[in-house]
Amino acid sequence: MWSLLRRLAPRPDAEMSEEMRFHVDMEAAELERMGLTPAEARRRALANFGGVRRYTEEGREMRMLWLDDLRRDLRYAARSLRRTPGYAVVVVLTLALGIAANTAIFSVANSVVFRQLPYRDPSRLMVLWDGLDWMGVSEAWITGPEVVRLRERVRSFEGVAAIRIGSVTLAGDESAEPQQLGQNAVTANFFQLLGQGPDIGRSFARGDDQPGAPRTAIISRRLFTQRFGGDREVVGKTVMVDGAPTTIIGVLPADFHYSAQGSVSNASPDADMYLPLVDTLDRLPKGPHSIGVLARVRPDVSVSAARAELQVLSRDLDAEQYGHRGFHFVDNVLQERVTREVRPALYALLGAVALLMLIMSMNLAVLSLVRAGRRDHEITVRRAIGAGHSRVIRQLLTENMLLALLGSGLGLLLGVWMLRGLLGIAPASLPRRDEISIDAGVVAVTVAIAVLVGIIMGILPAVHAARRDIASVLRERGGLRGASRSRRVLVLAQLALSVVLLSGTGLLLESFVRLTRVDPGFDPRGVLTIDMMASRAEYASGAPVVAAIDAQVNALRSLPGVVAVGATGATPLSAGADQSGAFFPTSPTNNGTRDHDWMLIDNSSVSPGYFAAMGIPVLQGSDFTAAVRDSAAARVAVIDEQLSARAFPNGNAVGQPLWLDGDTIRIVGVVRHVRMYGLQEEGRGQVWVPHRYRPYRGMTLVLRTRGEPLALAAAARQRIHAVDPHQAIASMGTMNDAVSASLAQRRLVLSLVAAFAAAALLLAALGVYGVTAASVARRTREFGIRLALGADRKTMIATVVREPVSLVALGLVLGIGVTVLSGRVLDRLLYGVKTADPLTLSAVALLLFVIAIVASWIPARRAAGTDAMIALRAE
Amino acid sequence: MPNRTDLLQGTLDLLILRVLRLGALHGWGISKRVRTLSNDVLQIQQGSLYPALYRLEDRGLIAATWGISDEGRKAKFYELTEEGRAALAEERANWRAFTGAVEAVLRGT
Repeated sequence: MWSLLRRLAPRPDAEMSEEMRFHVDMEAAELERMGLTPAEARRRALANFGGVRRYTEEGREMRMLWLDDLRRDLRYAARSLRRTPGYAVVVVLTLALGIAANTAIFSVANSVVFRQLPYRDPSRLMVLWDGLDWMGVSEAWITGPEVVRLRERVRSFEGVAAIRIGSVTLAGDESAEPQQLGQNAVTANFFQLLGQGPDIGRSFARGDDQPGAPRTAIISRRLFTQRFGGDREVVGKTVMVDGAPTTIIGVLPADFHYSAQGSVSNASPDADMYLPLVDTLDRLPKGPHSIGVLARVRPDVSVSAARAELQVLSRDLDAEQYGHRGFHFVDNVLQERVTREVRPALYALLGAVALLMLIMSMNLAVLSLVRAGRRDHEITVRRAIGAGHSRVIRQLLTENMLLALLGSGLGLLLGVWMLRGLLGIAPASLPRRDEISIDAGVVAVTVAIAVLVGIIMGILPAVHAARRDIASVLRERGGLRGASRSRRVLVLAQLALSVVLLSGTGLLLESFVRLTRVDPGFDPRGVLTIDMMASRAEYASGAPVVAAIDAQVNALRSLPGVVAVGATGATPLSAGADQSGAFFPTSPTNNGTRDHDWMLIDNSSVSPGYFAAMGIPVLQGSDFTAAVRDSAAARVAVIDEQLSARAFPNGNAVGQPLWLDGDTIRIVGVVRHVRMYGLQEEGRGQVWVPHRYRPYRGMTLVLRTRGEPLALAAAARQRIHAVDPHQAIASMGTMNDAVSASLAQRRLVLSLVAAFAAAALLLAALGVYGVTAASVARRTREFGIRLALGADRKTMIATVVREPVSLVALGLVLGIGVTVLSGRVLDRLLYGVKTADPLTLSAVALLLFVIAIVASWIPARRAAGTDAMIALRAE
Repeated sequence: MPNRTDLLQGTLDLLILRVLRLGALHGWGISKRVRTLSNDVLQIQQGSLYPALYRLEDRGLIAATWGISDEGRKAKFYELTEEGRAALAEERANWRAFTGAVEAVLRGT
């Protein structure tokens, strides 16, 4: 590389003219000795030389200064590309498409994963969780007393904010229906710790979160626009929140996002209202893990030092409160936490698009080799008349660089358009979605790629051309010999990389198909869901809530088109269930240790008729019936098949007692296990109790309908408001949509990787075709002779096809090797298959062989059809 | 004045290599030596000489160093490299074969 650079450097101009001057002086002296006057001698010497000036210039022309050089090279490049427009168009378009795909994917990854969150010094923001690994909970909310300990003990933290998520009802008025809103209750220091807060009005101040302080609220820009018409006068206005007068003190900017779950992708929309978390944390009971914690590390302390200090507190708490079971705080840097769910998918996409770019630039390198082969004669003539290696290399580089830059310019434009399309189909759960844009970093990467591609395309043929012996080319006008080897290596690499992409696609497809075949435990067809909250003050707890929900269920039952109605606290796939410890005192599998016998389970309340409405099969015993009318009879539970199999392997779960949250209830039925957290997650065992036993204010009404469920939405809304005009409806949806939303990200990743793989396959096929065609062309005479000697067509075809097939075989071995090695990137995206899935890999192998044979068939036919005489004469 | 034949394209390299075999020379020295050895028949056009020198240098057949000429002036001297010696032998054989062939044809007529 160094010697190459040295050769590219121009010879110093001064050195050259000094040499010329010396020559003229010597000539003049000689002429003087022959008797001429000094003046005449000098004139003659100059004339003989043809003018020092002219030659220094011509000398310069061969070893021009960089700038002149570049201009001349560019002009020459443009002229030579105009002569072969087909080549130029193919290269520019291929590159543009590659760069566009790259730009789009990289922009998403850059904006979502790499760009800093829009808070003050975001790398010092951490979110904390309780690690209760012995219970099977790796990240639980934190308890009130623990938050107090964190505040008092960890000096590395500048501040600790507590967040509790929930929902509230904003009362209706003359102009608006009552509204159920997602709400975050936060300590007063929350916005100050984040370094981002309201841009209209004010943030919470010290004291706003003290008991007895006047009730205040900060609202989202969305609520500000939709509910209050964007009127700034709303600041200072008092509204009814959960039946209590509350003053709005501030409005958040539109780009404010925060999720206490720490993962914005968990389909958790931004809260529309922030209320002060009344700071009575030290008075909260020790048990409930209910608080999210955001902490900021002090500027003079490193994050790792803060972590170490936190672990000291972890050990103390483990000893004091958890009986040495292994309690520890889990700390995540906010940025990493927010993107945790999408990172594997984005990395896989980045990898896929990088592979495609590699394959593309190899394809372009092959193209430029072929073109250089055709221009061999021209290049050699240029060298014979004095152009050095460096001139030739620079010329080839300039041409290809020009194409690369054109291609990437076009690619960037296309990329903007492609990114827009991509965002159109990206799942709503993609975090930081509205921050996604093309920035300087993306443009820089694009330009770097373009330059690299240009260099690869230029250097290869240049090196081959420079090595050639001038005389031999001028004599025989032959092709580039070394180039055909380079070309084969390039095609081999393309094949191997295509195998990686194809296997990835195959594995993702297999995972996707398996997921769509997963039994979610319920029947999503024709199910309408209505999220609502029994809001009025009198429903705050107890029987009236149950009565209100039962009234709604009954009213909806008679709606035409409705087959069954029920209500639940947690629909499948919503991750909405609560977690509790459950114990089956009569289970034969108990071994007497608390940690084994007490199981962490998902539980929620449902109304009678819910299982029928959701299409969850009752396997043993029965659903809750109308008999569950009074609360004594309501001390019953339905468990899922998973718990039944674990606790009662003999299948006699019905009738057995269950301890749940300090109460003993009786199991009356066993239902199918439903997927609570998404199709790919098995989830925990489930316990369902009647909502009469444990009333929920916020429930989802579930309507099984004939036909299109959303067609009933308006009628259902009317019925609900006929029963209670103040009833807030949070949202309506269908279970089919919930299922498809749960697959949305996979579907997108799969289609993108599949598109990249298809492009890669096409390029690799072109490569195989090209290599075979070139080798057939080179061996025309050989084939002619063999045919003349009586070889039959079949043998000829086999001879030709042998080369590409062995190339593919080698490509497969390399590609599969790389796939298996790169399994770590892909494994987290797979479901039910391993990276080294023999079925998928065999399918890829088969596909590639078919493609190789098809691609080499045409040249093979040509070889077999060679006329012996013509072939021999052509030489 | 003696008849000065224009140099055949391609023989220039051979002549340069040949005169450099006797030792390092500067550009003017090379042209003078060729003129002398050919009894003033062969005259190298300076416009061809220097491009040819640079070309040979690029191909690694000759190497250049700055030195002091007999007249005490700074000048650039060229000398044969090992590769240059080998190339000279080969080119020389080629030339002999070529001229021999031409001669044979001429005699034949």
